[in-house]
Amino acid sequence: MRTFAFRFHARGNHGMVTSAEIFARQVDATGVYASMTPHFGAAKAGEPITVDVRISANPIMEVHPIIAPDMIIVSDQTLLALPEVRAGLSEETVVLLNSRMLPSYLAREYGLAHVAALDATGIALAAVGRPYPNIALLGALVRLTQNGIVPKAGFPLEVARAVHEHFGGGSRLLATSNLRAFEQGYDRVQRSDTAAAPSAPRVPHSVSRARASELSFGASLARLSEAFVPTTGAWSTAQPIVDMDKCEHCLFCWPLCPDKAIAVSAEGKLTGIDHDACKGCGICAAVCPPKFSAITMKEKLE
Amino acid sequence: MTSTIFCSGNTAAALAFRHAGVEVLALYPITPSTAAAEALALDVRDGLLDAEIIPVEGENSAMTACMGASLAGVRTATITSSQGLLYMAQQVFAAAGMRLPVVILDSTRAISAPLNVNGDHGDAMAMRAAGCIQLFARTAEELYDLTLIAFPLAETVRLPVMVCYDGFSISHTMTRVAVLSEDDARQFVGVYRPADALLALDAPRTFGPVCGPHFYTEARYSQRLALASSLAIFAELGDAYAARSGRAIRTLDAYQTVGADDIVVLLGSTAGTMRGVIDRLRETGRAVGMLSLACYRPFPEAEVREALQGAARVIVLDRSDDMGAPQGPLCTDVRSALYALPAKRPHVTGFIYGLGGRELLPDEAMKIFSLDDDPTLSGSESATYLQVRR
Repeated sequence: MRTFAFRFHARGNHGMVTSAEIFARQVDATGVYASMTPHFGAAKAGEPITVDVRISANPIMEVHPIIAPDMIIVSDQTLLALPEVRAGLSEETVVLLNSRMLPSYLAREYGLAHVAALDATGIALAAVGRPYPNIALLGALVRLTQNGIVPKAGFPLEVARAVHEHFGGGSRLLATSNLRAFEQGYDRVQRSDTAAAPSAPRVPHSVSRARASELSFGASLARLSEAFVPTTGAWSTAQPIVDMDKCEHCLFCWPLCPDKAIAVSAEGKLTGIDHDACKGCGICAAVCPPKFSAITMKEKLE
Repeated sequence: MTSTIFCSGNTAAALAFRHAGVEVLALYPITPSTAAAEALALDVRDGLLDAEIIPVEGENSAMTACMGASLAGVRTATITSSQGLLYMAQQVFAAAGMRLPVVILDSTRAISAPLNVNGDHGDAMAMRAAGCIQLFARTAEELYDLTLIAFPLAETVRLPVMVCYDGFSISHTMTRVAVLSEDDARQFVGVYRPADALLALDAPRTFGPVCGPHFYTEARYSQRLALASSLAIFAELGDAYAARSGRAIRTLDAYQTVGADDIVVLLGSTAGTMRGVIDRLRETGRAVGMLSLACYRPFPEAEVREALQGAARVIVLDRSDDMGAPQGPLCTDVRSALYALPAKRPHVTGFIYGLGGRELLPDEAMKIFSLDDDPTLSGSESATYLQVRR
């Protein structure tokens, strides 16, 4: 077998590090080599994270982030908007997406060649009762490695056993329900293959950001959305919308925003939301006095 | 005899502590080493390790607690990173001066400010003058090996040993690791019998006394001699360890250096990526090699000189900057070692790379072997930043 590189893209709290770990551990148990490296900073729920998994017949020495993945596993379709998620994709790369849409539609929509899709969140909600897409996606991933990538008979069964064992420490119900999510992920994943060539940036170290000559001294900040700080806008599943006709500029929201995303003019008037700096926590909408109700949270469309 | 497990560097480190039979651990968890501290707490809870864990209120206290325990005559260790190591610094120097065999694991991480939890060697390098033996692991497996060796090394030389392992690229990366059985490891490490213990009631001693100009120089000089003597003891322990594990542990690993024109020198996990780069360049006919050091303090000057003397060009990669110095710390040491050559010294070029988790990519590593092609990289006698957006 040649070396295969899998890059997992997820949000903090999706459980995808767990999935990647179970996958890598079980691949290693087949006798070939595997390595798994999670990349996250001071990870918070909702923050985009990456996990690299390499598998090879030979010991894996390299420790750098995967540049040209054979497969990416994306636990939230909105992450495809990030350049680092599409980085290094080629016409060979298989993209496994957590989505309710058909893979053929997703391939067209995002300009991808090989798309596998699965409503992993839906499966998790039905099977486990929680919106963690990780184990259903693991089932789909294992299915996709059955065309010779992991050349071991009985591999899916071994991963299923590992899933059951992993959650067995919680409760028997948790173990069996996650096993069901795994099996449904394995059974229900759909795939579409075309000859499209995805347009992908080749981004070595995250997105291109400010140069040294452009930094303020001490890398101090005036606004959280300044170029060299990772923006939090992509974390959100919902965003605040301000109805300026209703806003009375009481500014209750302004000091409570953890991301300094409420823009206020020199005259002390609320002028809008900095959506690059907002992670969609909803505090502003919660503290907006009910008699105004100027701020409402709007779910981001898939 | 070894058996294999699939685990992270943090897990391998905790397992080595368990296998070494650590008796007192003073811990203040910090990213990226937290998982190692957690694993040890579970080991103690589950009765797998008979140790006292002292949950301290900060790293300065962690080291003072270790010093107290070590003085009392038990096998002692701690784990930290970055700000934690710097906060511990005052006591690390004191532990070395008191010649206490405390083992310190440092999951190397960038130093604030700006705040960054990712890997580089800034924290470890800030401690290079503390008087500890300083080892750098290249893989999780080597981290297990070096941590086991650290205990008899510390206890024989009577100095603290700091085992450094790269944050995330070792601490969090899961790979296959071959480990000794607990019995085998315990036999290798041996029983710690302190020569002088605070609690030896028939022969009490004072440690860390006040010492004026009439003795301070002698105390420091004897510390320097002890540190220098550790190279030979490390080599002996490496051979003894190889007999049990089948893995050779040496102060430095020379890869394809014989007859090489260009040799890159580095520390830590980047050796893995660089190995692939060397292999690719060798296939194209380039005579390139790599020297990676497992032991950084004491600096194995003679061995480094011998390994590099035939090269036309030496390229040193520093994963931290020595602010204001002509070169990064490793490059300064390498240059200094080569200066003793009588004639035809290799030309030394130094690069700063990998800061705050910016792992070296193969393309970037390729560049350092084609210096003449890139005017921003060649021609400088002082440290050059390799991956910076200028």
